[in-house]
Amino acid sequence: MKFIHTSDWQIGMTRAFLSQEAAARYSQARIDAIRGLGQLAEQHDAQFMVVAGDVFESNQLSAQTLSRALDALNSVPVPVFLLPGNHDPLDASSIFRSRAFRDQAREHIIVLTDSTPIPVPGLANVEVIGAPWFSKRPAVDLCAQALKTLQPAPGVSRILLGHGQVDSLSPDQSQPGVVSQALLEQALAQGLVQYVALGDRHSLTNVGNSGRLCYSGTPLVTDFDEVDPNQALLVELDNETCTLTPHNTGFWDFQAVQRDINGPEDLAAFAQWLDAIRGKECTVLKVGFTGSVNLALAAELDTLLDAQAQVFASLKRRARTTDLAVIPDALDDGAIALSGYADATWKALLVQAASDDTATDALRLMYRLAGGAGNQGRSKGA
Amino acid sequence: MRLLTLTLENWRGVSHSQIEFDDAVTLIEGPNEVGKSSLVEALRMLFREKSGSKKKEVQAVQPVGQDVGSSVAAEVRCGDYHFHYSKTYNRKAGTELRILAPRAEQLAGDDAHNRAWEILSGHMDMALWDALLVEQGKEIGGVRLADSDGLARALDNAAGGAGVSGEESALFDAVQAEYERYFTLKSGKARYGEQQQRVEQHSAQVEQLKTTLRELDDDLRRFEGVSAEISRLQRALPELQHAKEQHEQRWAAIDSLQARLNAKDDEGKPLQQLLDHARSQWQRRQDAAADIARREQDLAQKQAALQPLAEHAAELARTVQAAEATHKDLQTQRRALQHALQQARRDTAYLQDAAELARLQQLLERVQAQRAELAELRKTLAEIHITAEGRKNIQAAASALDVASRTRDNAATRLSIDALQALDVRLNDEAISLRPGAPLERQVAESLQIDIPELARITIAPAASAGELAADVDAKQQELDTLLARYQVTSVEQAITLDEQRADAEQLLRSAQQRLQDTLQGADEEALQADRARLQQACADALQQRDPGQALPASEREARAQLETASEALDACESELDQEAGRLAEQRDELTRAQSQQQQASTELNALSSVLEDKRSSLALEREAEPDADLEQAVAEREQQLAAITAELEQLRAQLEAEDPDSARLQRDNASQALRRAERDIIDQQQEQAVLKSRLDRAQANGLFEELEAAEQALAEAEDTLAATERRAAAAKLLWETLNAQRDASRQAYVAPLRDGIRSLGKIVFGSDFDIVLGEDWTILDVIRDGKTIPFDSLSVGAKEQLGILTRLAAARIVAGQGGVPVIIDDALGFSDPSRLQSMGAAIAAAGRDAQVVVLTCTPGRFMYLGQVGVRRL
Repeated sequence: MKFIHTSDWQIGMTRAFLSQEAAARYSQARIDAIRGLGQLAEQHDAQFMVVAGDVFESNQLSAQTLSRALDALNSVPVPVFLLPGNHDPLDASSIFRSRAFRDQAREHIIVLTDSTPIPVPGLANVEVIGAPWFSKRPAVDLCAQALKTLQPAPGVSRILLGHGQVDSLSPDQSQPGVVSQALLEQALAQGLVQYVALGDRHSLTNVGNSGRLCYSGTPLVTDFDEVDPNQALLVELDNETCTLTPHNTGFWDFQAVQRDINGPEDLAAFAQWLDAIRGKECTVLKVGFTGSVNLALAAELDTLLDAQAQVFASLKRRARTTDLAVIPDALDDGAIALSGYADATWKALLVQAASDDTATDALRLMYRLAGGAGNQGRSKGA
Repeated sequence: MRLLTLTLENWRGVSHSQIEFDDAVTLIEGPNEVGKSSLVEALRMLFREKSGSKKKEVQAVQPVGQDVGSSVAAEVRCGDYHFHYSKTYNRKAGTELRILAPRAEQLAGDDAHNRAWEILSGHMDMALWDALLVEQGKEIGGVRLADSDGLARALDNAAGGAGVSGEESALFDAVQAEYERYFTLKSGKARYGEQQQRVEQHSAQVEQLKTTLRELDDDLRRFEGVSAEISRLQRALPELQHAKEQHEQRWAAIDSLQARLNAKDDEGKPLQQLLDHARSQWQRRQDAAADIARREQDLAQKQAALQPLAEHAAELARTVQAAEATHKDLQTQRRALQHALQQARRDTAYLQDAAELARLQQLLERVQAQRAELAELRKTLAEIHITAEGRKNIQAAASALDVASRTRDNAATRLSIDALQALDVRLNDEAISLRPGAPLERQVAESLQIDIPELARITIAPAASAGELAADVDAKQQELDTLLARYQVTSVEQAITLDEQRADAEQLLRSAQQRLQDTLQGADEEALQADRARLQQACADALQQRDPGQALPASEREARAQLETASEALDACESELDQEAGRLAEQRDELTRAQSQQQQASTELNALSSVLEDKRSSLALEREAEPDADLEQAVAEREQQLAAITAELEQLRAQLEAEDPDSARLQRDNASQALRRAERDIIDQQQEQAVLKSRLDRAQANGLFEELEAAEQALAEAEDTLAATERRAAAAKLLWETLNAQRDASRQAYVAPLRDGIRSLGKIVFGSDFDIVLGEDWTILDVIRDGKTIPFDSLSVGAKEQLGILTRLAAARIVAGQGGVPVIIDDALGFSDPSRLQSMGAAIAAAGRDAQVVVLTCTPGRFMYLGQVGVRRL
């Protein structure tokens, strides 16, 4: 038996740091990922697909987004089990119960609205059990609750779909909805269930040693701090063995990097590094700079970033981690010549720049207006 | 730059004119309209205006009525360059530039113009060139030097600055342009308000969407709460239903008991009515009997009370009779007393009248006597005819006679006869005996005839006047005699005697009249006599009327005493009579009241006894129809029947009490209400659930979340843009402000050398204590002379003009080291006095040692004090 384990599609998510244009593409990419998963299932002969929660980013999505997502879902050639998670709980405003969903979703789209074992259509002795979220604030361990009422069924392969943090990984174990790892492992050991497909962590994570307890991670990256996103798991489950194979599903990349710039060679290296990145239009970069540069170099860096920002999906300085000292030594290298009160102005600003970034900015502006480097690039960027 | 020559052809009124300039000061003299100003105009136009220019001012230089081109040509040294530069305007327009040094070049047309401009502006500050050109009729006084970079450069040098490249203006303009991208130049207002607004708008939108989503979340929670409440209520319903049924059963039992009670109660009600009726009839009978008894008793009492009333009335009648008798006696007594009083009054009056009569009698007798005396005196007076005036006239006439006699005697011949022996003579017919020693003296007033008997007759005749005097004596005598006769007196002596008698008599008469008046004391005598007659009559009447048996009182006093006694006795009697009358009236009233009481009681008694009789007969009739015993029997029977039913009712009530119907009903009602409430609550909650559900459904389809995401993204973008703009704006602002501050500071530094330059020239003109205060823009703010500070604007036109020229000269001197700019002064100093002209001449000459100066004037004398000068005459 083969199936695809995925989760945290977060359909409808946008990111504020993306420009409007990039945001539209990013949203489309999340829809496209569904089709990708369908193709993956087809390629590997998976018989069905389970989505372990957070199919949608919210219950309040536009009709357009929902319709597109359902259109993609409908195109998946195998049955798809959807588990309501913390983002799309089965509450009174649940998107799964909306008329649009009910009208548009085809029969092979199965929403797990309770913990009753549901046989997988077309497969004998395979059941899917869900631990759906009914509100954003569960009072209990939903997985434990689903298992409690589950009667053993020898000869039937069961897959439990759960959503939320397992206690071994949760920073705050006192939360009422935290999933008990031990209970899940116990159920696996007892043969009550054969595989637990977890969602909520966006990073592909194998929990414990059973090899049957996994977070698949999100099929399309959503944040900078995610480890191994953009994947889905192909699960092969036999009587004795369980084989997990991660497959790539997304091509967007979120990176937060830190660069040290102290001279033209560092800048050149950074420019080269940027240049080497593939799929820039789907790459989101935030870069923190440290070190010290003169005005000319600062102007060159500005020019470089302004130019590259046009290519990347997003390219921003990390204000929090940027500590780039601009040392205004431009006069010494003879790039511009000042005299009279202009010279006096330069010197006055230089003194002020030691403690005032605006003065540094003023110097850079003066440098540019006096005909220093970076003139064209800046004026375009400004 | 140095001007070497300038040539004009067909320029306005000038057909041809050529000037060679000195290195120092060139003075160009010429009368008006000869074309001095044209020189300046042509020179300015040569540098500025292209030969092809169609500007009005260019067209204006064509000579009037001549279709010829106007040419200007100059030979100029400028830095290393030495060139000829000429232009022809309007007709046959063209430009030519011939450079002699450092390298020979020949250019024409716009190339020539551009090359010339390049050379000129490369070596000379064109702004300063314009500033130093004093054109006739243009503004005099303040000079705008602040725009001049060349002057600034020179001043920077003079101030020992770091050197000015001339790029500052360009940089300044660029910075200002950058500043103006973000702020308005005047007010410094930010121009990127739109971006700020966008951030605010997005922020508001995000906030609103978040609120909406929070409300949605609240709805969700409420929905959950409502759903939980509905299921709880639905679970509770059966239990409430059961409780309600139980309580209703218990109540049904109580209800039937109550119905039996009511039925028995209904049964007792008519019986009670019958009993009441019987009781009331028996009671009425008893009441009637009691009433009769009471009335009988009452009647007896009233009859007993009637007798004393009659006795009392009789007693009172007797008392009244006695009182009336007493009253009558008193009235008789009063009449007697009134009579006595009257008599006493008459006696008193009679005595008074008698006394008055006696007094009157006496008075009238005295009057009689006095009247007789008066008559006597009047008689005496009637016999005397002399009056006081008569006596006076008589005495006067006697005196006049005497005077006349003496006058006659004195005037008459005096005859004295001394008889020597006794002799008798006859004088006229008078016999006189003469004796010795007794002469006879005579006045001879008339013929006197002395007969001495026997001896002689002597006749002596008086003189003639003696006759007149004698006539006067006669007249006087006659007058006296007449008077005596009139007053019937015989002599003067008698007249005097009689007159005195008359005066005495008159005196007596007056005093007698006075006495009579005193006696009468103003009373009329006739009235007194009438009074006396009346009194005599009254007295006679009184005596006649009086009872002769009674003695007349002895005196008036006694009569008064009698009168008083009679009056007092009457008063006492009257008083007693009044008292008696009052008492009598009271007694009569009392009698009337007693009689009326007696009457009333008697009437009442009759009425009562008649009523009593009626009652008695009525009761007798009733008893005959229904005897008392029958009535009593009926009451007893009814009472028995009713007691039986009441006992049954008591029993039923006790049973009902034991069942506690009140709390049973309360419990039944409560159970039913609780059930109803639960059912209603379910409906309410279901309604709310439906409302929430529909709201949630609507919200679900709204896509709020995505809207929020989009808004947040737009906000982030707007904030990024604004932050970047603000940062750039802050930089531009700081740079702009710093640059301005530094420029102002540097200008302030340049002020010193310019001030020194103006002051050194100014001392020549205005004296050694001359000083000025320059503004940052190098305009003169104040002038200091004789230790006093005078604002520039308060100076005279002449002084302003002089200072303007000195400022230009000073500026020209300062830039002299960098190739220099010529100062051209056209027809100035018209407002200066000769001494000032002299010193200005010295100042211009001093400046001319460093800079090229050209002075044009139509008044040669004005600049006669210029020492070193090349003079050209037009």
